Amino acid sequence: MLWTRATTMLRWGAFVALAAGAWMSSSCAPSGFADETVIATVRILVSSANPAYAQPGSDVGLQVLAFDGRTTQPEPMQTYWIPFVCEDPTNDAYYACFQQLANDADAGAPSGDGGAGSPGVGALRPGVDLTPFLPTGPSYQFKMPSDVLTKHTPVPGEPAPYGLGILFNIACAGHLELLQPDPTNNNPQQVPLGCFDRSENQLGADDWVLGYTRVYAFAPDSGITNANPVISSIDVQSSPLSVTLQPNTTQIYTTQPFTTSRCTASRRSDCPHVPIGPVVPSTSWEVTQQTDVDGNPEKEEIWADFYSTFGQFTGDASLLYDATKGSIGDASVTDNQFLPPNDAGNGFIWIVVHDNRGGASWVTIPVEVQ
Amino acid sequence: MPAYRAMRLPRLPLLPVVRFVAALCALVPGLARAQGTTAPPGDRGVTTGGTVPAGVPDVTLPVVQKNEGVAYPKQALDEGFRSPAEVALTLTIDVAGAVTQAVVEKPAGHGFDEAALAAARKLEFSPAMRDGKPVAARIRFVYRFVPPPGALSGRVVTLAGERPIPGATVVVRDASGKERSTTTGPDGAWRIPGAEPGTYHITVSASGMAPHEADQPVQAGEEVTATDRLAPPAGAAPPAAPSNDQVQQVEVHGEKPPREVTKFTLDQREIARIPGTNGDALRSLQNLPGVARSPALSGLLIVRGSAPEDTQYFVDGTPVPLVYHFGGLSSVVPTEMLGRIDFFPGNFSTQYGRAMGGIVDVGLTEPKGDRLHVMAQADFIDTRAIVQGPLFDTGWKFALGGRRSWFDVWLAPVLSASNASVSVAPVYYDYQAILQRDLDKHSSLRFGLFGSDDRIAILLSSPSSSAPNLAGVIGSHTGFWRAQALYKNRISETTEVRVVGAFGEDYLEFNAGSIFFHLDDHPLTSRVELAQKLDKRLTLNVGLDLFYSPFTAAAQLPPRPKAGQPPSGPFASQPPVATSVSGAVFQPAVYTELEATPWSGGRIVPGLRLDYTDSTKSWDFAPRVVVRQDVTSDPRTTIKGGVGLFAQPPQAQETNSVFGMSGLKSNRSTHYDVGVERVFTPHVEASLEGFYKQLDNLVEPGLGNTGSGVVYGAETLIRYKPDERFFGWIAYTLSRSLRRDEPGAPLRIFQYDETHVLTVLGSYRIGRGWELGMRYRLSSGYMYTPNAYGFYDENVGTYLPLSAYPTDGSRLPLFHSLDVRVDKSWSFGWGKINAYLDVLNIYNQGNVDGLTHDFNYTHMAYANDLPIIPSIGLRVEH
Repeated sequence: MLWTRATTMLRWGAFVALAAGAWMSSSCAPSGFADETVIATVRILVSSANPAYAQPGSDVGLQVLAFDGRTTQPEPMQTYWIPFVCEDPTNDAYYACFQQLANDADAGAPSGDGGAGSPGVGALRPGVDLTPFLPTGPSYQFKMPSDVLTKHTPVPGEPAPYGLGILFNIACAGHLELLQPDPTNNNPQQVPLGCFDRSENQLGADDWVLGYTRVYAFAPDSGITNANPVISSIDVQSSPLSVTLQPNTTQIYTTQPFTTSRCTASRRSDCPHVPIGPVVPSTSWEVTQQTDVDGNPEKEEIWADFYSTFGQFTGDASLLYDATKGSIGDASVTDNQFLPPNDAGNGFIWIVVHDNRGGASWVTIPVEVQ
Repeated sequence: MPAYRAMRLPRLPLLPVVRFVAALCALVPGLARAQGTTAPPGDRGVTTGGTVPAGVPDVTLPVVQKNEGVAYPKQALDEGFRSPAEVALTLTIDVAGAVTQAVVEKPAGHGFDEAALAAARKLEFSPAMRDGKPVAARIRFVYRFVPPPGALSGRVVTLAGERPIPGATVVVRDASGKERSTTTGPDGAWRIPGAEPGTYHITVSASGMAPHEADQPVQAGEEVTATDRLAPPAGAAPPAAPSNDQVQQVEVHGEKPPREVTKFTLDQREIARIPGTNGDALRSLQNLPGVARSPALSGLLIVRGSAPEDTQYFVDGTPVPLVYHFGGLSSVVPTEMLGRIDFFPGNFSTQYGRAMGGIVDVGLTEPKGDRLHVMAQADFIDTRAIVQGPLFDTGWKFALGGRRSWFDVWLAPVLSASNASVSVAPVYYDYQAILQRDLDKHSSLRFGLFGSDDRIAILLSSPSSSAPNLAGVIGSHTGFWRAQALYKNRISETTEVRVVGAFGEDYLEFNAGSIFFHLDDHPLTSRVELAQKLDKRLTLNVGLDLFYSPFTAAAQLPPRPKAGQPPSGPFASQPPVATSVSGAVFQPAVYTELEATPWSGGRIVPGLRLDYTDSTKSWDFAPRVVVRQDVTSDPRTTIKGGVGLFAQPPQAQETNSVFGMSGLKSNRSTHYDVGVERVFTPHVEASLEGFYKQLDNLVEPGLGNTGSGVVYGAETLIRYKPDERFFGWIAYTLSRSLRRDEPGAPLRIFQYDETHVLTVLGSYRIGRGWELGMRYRLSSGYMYTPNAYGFYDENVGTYLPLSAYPTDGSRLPLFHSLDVRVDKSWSFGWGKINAYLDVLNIYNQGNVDGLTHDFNYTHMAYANDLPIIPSIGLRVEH
């Protein structure tokens, strides 16, 4: 039978996806699970490349948003960068970089602003503290390899030839060591790094995150570019909260804190729901290199993720722009609902705006709960 | 002539076993071919008298004093030899008249010589006399064997429920017009012995039932047994009791053994009353042995450890892309429009191809021609109506059916109340139209139009952060329709032709944000099959099976990972790849099959199928053979087996330049089956079957025809077929399904493997229109891949798990569930009303259907299967 053998599976997949989507988006988290929007551990939330789409040989600046939400911090969290550009891994798979990293014993890459001139980590061995060799900090600069386009195996059906560089960063409340690979395990996802405390205990999910970011590169004459979404303001209960760019960074802050009253209800669902969300102008809704089913140029999908150290949100994310429909609606439709905590205090809210081509921006909002 | 049964020769049950094994062995190179005989009932032969050799003067020849005669040898009947024969012996007779030596002059074979010698030793003579004194003598003695007559026997039962009909009249008319008649006994059985070879016209009539006529050939020495199922005459009220029979009837299997090793056919009452299925015919298939429990709301049919896409679906021989509406809630053809359901879990006939799992072939019902019939039914899921009857006085009969779901009406408010961001439910409908006419006594023509449509469109504005791409405008629209013509003609006593052609459309549209998949194809299918009876023991089936389908497809999807590899990133993190193609799929095939009954109770069906696949420019040659042998006849015990090759072409997306790869060939599977069936009583039967499937050349994404695997297991069915009050069965399947993605990769348990699948069900008519049914299911949990804390994708803002390798290495907990159904019927002069309550999972077992994880894969929880779900329905028939 034609494609129709796939029909049953695809229909099932679509149905399950819809059901799962409906279920997952109906509440913050399933019963018993930690709320993703609440930052209570070591977390990486997002990274952003500038420019979002690179060109072969161009300089690219990376910014990462990481935060230590632990209430007790035996060792401080630090953000590390692996000074290695994983260039065009097999099948564009991030885990294929691990082997590439291991094979490249002289993997010295252009350094970040925190660790210029560091030797390649590929030459190091398990059990050695890697942190002296790794760049640190929220930003990192690298040069996209000039052969990134030619080394990339063309993908049938790709809208335009591209190259791919993958960068790894780690948020670790301790120090990093390489792990001895298990030769009996052919799992391609074997993690090559671990985060250890002073007593050489390997730390878990609350204390470290291994993150990666993809940076795509297109030929200069392709005309394909991507800008990170713009957050023009924050809507709080239908009132704008203006934002400003932190000098010399891409990080955006609100000019004044978000102030709200604490929740006095005993049940979370009875707490006041404070609508809050980003305002993203339609100029950020860019045309992509893809076309829709009718052959017309397709546009980006843009959505916002929400995080908080104090209080919580009713949903994980809000869609702002659909690929075909465009703007989903005004703030009354796209705003998330913030539930203040029962206690007064201060904290942070982050609203991270993504497009589906790797572009991202975020805004940090100080919260004062009275 | 002595009674047939009194002269039955001792059975040698081992002989059929030997022959059966030999037949199987002959199929396997390297094993010796064995020869054997079978032991059907024989009949007494006719004994010849002795002849006197040339006399000598003054000598008196021996005279026969005692001659018990000789039976026509069973071996000859078994070997198909049914002609008169002679065996000449030279007998030495002593002075007492006893036979001291017997020598065959010219062997006749087929057991005649042995029979003659054995009989001769029992002869007693008065001795030869010379000069008044007894002397020894040698004489020539000839036995003439005349083939015995056959017999006709059978059983007369009701079509619905197979209840015996005592007192029915059976009239048998031979070719000369001579009639003999009898009546059926309390068990509905009848028998007419002494039927000379020839064709007989049998007429069966009973009070309150429409008569049934059929022609039946009888060979010498053969007892032909048939079961006649009578229904009330057109326009007549159904039998008084029981009253719960449905107006429509689903054909039950006849006595002719199947062309396949295993063929399951369900009675209409079983289909309608199996708890937990809402009376849905195709959902009832999931209770048969060899079929695994499907994931909740999946609509997938997992047959003997095969992938769901390895099983093909047909409507009267026309392939259709799907049989279930969204979520498997109901079939695309309502039960009331079905005339039959044939399900072949493996080793199926060469008339079916392009599949290596199982086959589901349903037949649309034959419209009623007596008067107008109307049926309407509604439950929580959908509502349906059927009208059928004669089309004025044109000789044509018609049936019109339609169904539409309406759970969207009540589900949307429920979803809204639960704060779900999806508050729109799917909508589906299906339709069927049949126009049929019997052109003459032997031929019929039927036109059919049927189709199905499922759609949903939503705006999902609050996506999950782990899959933000699954947001925005999401829509799915799938369906198909077929316009079909079916012509059947029994051209002569020995030739029958069946032609079915269909044209239609399949469509599948799915879009979610920036990704989409659109397909539109117009399959033109045709099947022509000619059945030619070569002689009394051989029927040749020859067929042509064409599939041609022009199509257009456009897709923009994330790239597929290679087989066995984890995704290279989250759904939304990579540029999608796109394709827009048009073309045509052309897959012609020819097949042939020989149905041979070389001996009594034996049946061998060898077959060949040759498929061509245009997309791969390759041929697939598929020889198959099925062997059945009755070991005992009353009660009947049959051993069976088969072996065959099955090929399944790559799917179109697998050969697509973007989503697939070039150079692919067909997936291949070899099926081996061996089993035994036994009919204990007219209502109780049991079967046990072992199966082994070798899978090769499996198409693996990104790798090619590198996959392989094995499936093996056993399945058993103990079934009580419907009687006046009860039906039920116990089905158990034990199996293991393994796969290897490529040479050198680990052999892993297949994701659809279910080691144990047990189904126990039964339904009992209490009386006064009440019926209570229960179904208990117990099965192994599904396989899953454990996930652990892994990585964070910063472009999308989501964690990715560290997945165990190889995949599907762990199993979910055991599944068990009890479903209960209660029916109440009221009969009126104008028709009948039936109300039912069908409760799924009545003790609300928290069965596990899958896993869910927290956002960073540090904690997991079970995702539960369906909770207790009551469903109430009402059905009105006129």
